[in-house]
Amino acid sequence: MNLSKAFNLELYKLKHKYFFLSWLLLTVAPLAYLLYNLRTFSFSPHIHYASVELVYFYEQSEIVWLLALILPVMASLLISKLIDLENKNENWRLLITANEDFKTLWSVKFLTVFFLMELTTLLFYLTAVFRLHQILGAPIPVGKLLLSFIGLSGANVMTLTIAQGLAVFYRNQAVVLIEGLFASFIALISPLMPRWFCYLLPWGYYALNILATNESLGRGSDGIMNWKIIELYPNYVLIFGVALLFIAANVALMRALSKREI
Amino acid sequence: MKTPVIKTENLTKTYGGINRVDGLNLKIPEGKIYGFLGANGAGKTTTMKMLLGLTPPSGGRIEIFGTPFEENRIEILKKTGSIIENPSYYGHLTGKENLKLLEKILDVSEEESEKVLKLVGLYEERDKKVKNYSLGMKQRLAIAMALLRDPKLLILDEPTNGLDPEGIREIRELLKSLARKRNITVMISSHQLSEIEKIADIIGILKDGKLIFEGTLKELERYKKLKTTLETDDGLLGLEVLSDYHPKLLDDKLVFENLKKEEIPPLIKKLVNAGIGIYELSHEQLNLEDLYFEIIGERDEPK
Repeated sequence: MNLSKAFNLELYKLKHKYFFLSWLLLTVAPLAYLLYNLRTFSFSPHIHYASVELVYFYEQSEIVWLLALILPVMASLLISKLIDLENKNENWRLLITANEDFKTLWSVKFLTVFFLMELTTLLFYLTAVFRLHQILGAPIPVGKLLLSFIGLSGANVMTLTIAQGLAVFYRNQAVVLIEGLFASFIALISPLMPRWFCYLLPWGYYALNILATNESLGRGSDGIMNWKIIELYPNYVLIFGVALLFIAANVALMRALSKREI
Repeated sequence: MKTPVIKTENLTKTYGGINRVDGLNLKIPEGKIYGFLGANGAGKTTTMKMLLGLTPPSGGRIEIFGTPFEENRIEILKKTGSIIENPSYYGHLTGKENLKLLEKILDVSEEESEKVLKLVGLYEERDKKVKNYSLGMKQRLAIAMALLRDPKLLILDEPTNGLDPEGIREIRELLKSLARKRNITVMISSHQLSEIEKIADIIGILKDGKLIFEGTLKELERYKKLKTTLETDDGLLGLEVLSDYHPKLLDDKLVFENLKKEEIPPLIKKLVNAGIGIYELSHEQLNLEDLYFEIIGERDEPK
């Protein structure tokens, strides 16, 4: 069965399931928060940017923090909904004996959720970048932002691979949902943790894509803390390398699970 | 001789070093209803799963429609409808939508769906969500889904499980008419002979993963036994006195197998002479159900 037909079938199965409503709610609520923050954006005399690019980068770090909170939960919730469709009533059997291929089903489910995660990430990026461009009128550092977007896609691959493996392996979908909450917690605290912590856990890779951070300059004469924004340089070779490893792991997992008894 | 629709040679499935299906040699002829019997855990479902490619065999060979299963899986499954253990369906979709989904997978027309819905008597209920169907309706929907691809073979694992007597009768009549009118070969499993004897042309009995009987009901009847039961006031002494007749002591009663009518009077005389009191005697032929339970139980096997 070809992929486009398999996508059509997946969409058909989701009738009356409110699947996209879950995605919409998980995207719209934090997006509204981001918009509110940007609406009240103003330069503080206590934050020092060495270049206008850093304003974009610092906002990107705020976005990544938000995304790190919601994307692991989104991955777990949406993939569990898709996998549970087949786990219930042994529908894997129905599909396999009707000549649907497990590998195609696995790929379609992965790609559906991955696409939605990417769409959320893209919406956050576009909202922030265009709003800042409106305020600053300065050119957008497209190249670096694009690279960080692709880097986040790598983190999405890692998060989703783990969630999908758990959702298929454990019929009890509470397992993958708890994993999602745990992953979200790890992703959220990662920017505050040492670098090695982020390298060790796949959910820490969201934090590794942050383009800027702040550094204290001490208190000024008015007693208020002053901050300097400094640029960070994500190690994309490492990020993409690990993401590739996870893609290979995803394929291996798919092959192994396709051979299990249904 | 026609090629059997299903043929297995030494089909084996091993779990944790134990053969759950052990060197199975099945032959199911075209257009017949094959009743696959055995106690729970005998290996019926595992065998059916192997026949459908849901689990790989540990050894042996499967041929369906005269072709090896492994190499021709796609073509074989196109012509095979199945229900394994419980009916599969999407509960949040209506009956019609469930069939629509399969229409898309199997590339069949909407008319076919309507035809099978009418055939299983669900046409009026087609717009109801399946989660609101009764168990019988779900089973019938599963059969409709199995029939949608216009199968030449149906593999049904305990399709009447959980159904009331009326539901069982409906499914039975439906399968009989399918085999007769459409020349579909049906392999149906059950752990109850009473269900299968009303429908099957041939039966196969599985015990501990081994096929211990395959043939018609008439052939099975040849193994019917005579059973004589004697209730006395001293079973143990009776066992000793009548040791030449090889009785067994069950529930304090002496049980004899295949004892001839003429052998009974001298046997009673022996007991009386030994001073043993007799309360009750019965001499009867085991019915098919009893015989079946003997076969799948721990007693002697006919082969």
